[in-house]
Amino acid sequence: MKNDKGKYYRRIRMAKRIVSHLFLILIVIFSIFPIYYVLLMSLSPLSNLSQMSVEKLIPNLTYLTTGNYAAILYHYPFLTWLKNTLIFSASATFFGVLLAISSGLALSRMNIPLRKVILYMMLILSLFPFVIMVIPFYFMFSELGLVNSYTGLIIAYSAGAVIFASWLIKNYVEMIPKDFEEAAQIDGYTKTGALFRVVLPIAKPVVIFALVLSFMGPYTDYALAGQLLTNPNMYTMAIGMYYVSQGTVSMNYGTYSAFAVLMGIPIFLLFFAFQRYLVSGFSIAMYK
Amino acid sequence: MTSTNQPAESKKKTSRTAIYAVIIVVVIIIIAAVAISMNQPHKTTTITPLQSQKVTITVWGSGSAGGEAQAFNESLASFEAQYPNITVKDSPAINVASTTFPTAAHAHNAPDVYRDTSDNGGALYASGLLLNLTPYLNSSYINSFTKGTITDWKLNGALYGIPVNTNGIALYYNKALVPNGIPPSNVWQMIQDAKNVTAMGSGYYGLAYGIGNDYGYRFAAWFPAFGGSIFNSTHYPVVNSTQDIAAMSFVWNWTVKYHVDTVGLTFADEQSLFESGKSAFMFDGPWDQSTYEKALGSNLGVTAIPFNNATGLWPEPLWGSVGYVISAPIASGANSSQIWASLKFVEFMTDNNSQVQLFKLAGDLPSLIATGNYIEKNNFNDTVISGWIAQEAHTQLFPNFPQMAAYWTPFHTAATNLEQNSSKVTVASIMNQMEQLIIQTLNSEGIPLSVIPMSVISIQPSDYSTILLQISVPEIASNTIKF
Amino acid sequence: MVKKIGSWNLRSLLFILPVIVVLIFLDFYPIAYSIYMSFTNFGEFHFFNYSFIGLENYIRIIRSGFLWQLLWQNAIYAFGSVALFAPLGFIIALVMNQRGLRGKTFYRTAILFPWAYPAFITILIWQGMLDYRFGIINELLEKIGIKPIYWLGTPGTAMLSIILVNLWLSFPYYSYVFTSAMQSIPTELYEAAEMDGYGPLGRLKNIIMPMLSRQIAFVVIFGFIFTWNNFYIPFLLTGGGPGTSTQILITYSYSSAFSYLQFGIGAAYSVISILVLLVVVIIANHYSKMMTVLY
Repeated sequence: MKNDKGKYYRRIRMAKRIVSHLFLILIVIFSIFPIYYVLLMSLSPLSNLSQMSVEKLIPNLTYLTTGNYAAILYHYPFLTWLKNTLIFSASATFFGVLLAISSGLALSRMNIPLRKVILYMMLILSLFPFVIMVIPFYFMFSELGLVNSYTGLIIAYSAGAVIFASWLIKNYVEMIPKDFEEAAQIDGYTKTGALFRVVLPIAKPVVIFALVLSFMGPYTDYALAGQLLTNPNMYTMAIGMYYVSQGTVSMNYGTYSAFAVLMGIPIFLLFFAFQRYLVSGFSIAMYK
Repeated sequence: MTSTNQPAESKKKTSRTAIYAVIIVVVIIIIAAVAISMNQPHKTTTITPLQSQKVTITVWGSGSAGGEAQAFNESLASFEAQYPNITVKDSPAINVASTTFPTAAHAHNAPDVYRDTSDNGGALYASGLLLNLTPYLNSSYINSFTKGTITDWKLNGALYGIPVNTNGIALYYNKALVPNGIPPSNVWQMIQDAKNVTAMGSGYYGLAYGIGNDYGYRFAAWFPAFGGSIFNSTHYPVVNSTQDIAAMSFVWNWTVKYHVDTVGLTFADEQSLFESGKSAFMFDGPWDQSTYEKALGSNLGVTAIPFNNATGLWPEPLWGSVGYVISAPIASGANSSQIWASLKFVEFMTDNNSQVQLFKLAGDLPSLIATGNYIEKNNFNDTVISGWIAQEAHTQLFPNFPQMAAYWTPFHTAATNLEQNSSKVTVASIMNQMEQLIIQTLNSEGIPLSVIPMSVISIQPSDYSTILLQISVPEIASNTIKF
Repeated sequence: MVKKIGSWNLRSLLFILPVIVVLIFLDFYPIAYSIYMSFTNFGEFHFFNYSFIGLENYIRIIRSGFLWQLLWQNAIYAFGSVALFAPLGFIIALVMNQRGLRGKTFYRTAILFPWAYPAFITILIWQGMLDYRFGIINELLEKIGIKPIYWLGTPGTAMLSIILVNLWLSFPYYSYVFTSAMQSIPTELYEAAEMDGYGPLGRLKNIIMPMLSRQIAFVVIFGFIFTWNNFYIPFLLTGGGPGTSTQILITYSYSSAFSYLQFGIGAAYSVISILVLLVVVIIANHYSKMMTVLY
């Protein structure tokens, strides 16, 4: 009798497992399919999408080619674009997150006048769509002589990173019990010292999480870079991609796909490497 | 962690704080808005005297990668060799019709020279962003261009750009799919040929044209074939006229009466059908010629869209052109030497040598009469080229007045509606809908429903016109600009 | 908390100086500028010599008849997207959060792709995949005996495509958010519930939902806000078409500004978009108190 019940439960659990896995596998296919598709396109000699068919979804080695990649790497200043993208992304990430650490810690732990108002504003202002900001941005940057300069774009990107990174850090730090700093203060740290020496190391996951997200912003941006950069030596990969794949009228999908793979893989690897922190960094990031 | 049962008072306080925050944001925004409006940026362009010193001009010009960019770079190199004191800074990724130009112009940061289409150029000129070139050019220079292309760069009498090519759609055909490889001579013949191809099997559509995916650019050829037009001479939309309704009925009959066309085709679908020999015809421009040549080889032919034997009129596709415009000093901050250099540059990039290169590398048809003659004389006279030249004789000017911007989306909405609700709507009601939508769009965007008088178009700020006067007189004399 | 005196306050302001500077220069200024522009006739016919025209742009927009259509489409887009990606993210999180489930890391990595890939690239890929005649989606559907769907060509399916692509782009983020939210619930609570004989549904109803209700509200409402102004999907996938059937306020604002060169009217459309959102936020906060998540 007891044995039967155990069997019954085991079966139920088994069925649950199978259904769960089936469900998750479906989700995984849904998630990966477009990426697989673009990878296949990039390796095929096809010039337009219409030549793709279901049969070709199974790769055939004789028919694959790296021609699209060779075209991008050898016929265009791809490495210059890569270098520029890395300069923008890395600097903006560095400055943005550095400033956000101080603001985030301060917003969560210090008695700041109008703290709530500032928090609300950070939220409300995030409602404003970026597209409408581009025009005024351009006017301001042009007045300041920051159009077509590394400094200008780095300032803009860092600014974008500061707001949301402060936000993430502030929320995370609020989850950390105050006991740590209080203990550290007893040990002779100042309040600020305790924040930076004791609390910050505990907040490492969210800092890494903020770093990854801040890097992604400038890396994928087209709208702002397209507006502020007209000097070909300063083009980023996103602009280069547009330039390379946009024919006079119709799009060259082969080149486009190859560029998409070249551009997307590094970001994916970055996410993959820091995946652990994506879960734990979020873990509380949005809430208390 | 936040408790789920907070005291009611604290909740009230929360929403009160939210309201305060909103009020503060609004107040700050209003203060900032007032401050901005009181402190309008006002820049005066300083005029430096022209010297034989070095001049740098910025150009947004080469457009997308490809043959046109290659021709551009070659011409640019010979220009810099001929004018060593002029340095040209080019930005290749900024294509025609870029949104960057107006923004940059408003910040007085536009490039000195910009490559754009004639209709976009018209809108920019109407905004006062472009230099009126008429004072700098004599009539013999202007007359060296074909009448059609140069007229396309005029708005209210002013010439705002110099065309470097001319293009538009014609009829591509597959020689293997028309009797004896000879293209149809009239629309009736075209439909007969298409019927034969359609009969070859399922998935064959002899005259594949996806009206529901057109924004009216390719369709526009059919209005003149029935005596109609999009706008009348006062720039009021007239697509609801009997002529335009007849044009739409004719094209729609390809699908519903002759069954040589089908619904739901995208442009890429049409291309695929044509390339795979399942469609005999394709309405397209020279920019896609290399794709079709690759697919069809020597079977590819080009001809003028055939004569309408029912009305005795020719279909006239919209032919526009790409050309070079020079920014007004207020938009670019250019000084007189830069304007001089820009004129030299534009003159050079549109001259016979450059246009011959452009033709050879990118297949662009020329805007200069001389280049046209050169091409006809020099054995380029194969069927494809002669097809383009034949079409060039039957084209309508690409409207470059501001109202034209309100044609595309309404056309698309109405055509989609026709394709999807064909059982519920009539062609006449579709054209009525199109006209109403054009009017609605014009109203909602604040564009007048009539010819916009000279006094409204390009009101030039006073300092700008003085600059023009100052440079035009002494400089042309001292530098002997000859066109 | 120990209250500090005034000097501390001032010194603490120094720490958040970057935030304040950014708020003023890169948020207030552009927003104020846009609002100011919406009250002027800045556009094709008045490019440099524009002037203040009061509410004329707004009156024009309200009279034009497009506004109601745009509001309706914007609402469908935002509600439809949230109604799909929030529940899907939640379910994935629930399934992945089962104790002892093998391959969690694999699944979690595999669903990273849509999030970690630049959206403007993948949207264009989707556009190709959804092509009516030659798109891979329709070819796959045909293989399993479903008639091809004219995804981007009819108003209804175009909106559906936008929402589905948005689902693909957004569900990983929401899965991660909900996963971590669930992980923040102490395991002892689960164990206690199991001891009390609650099944999985009982645990969901009696532990997870009550513990996370406010967070869920916050995430859903901010998902809505983000989607409402998410420009790229309609802009790149359908270009607002067919016709204007998938335009939302913010894409229409863009086309007013750049297709018609009417910058004042374009700015007015985006201001309207923001005002609608502000009203939504205030109402949502009134009922859900989601803002209390902030303290």
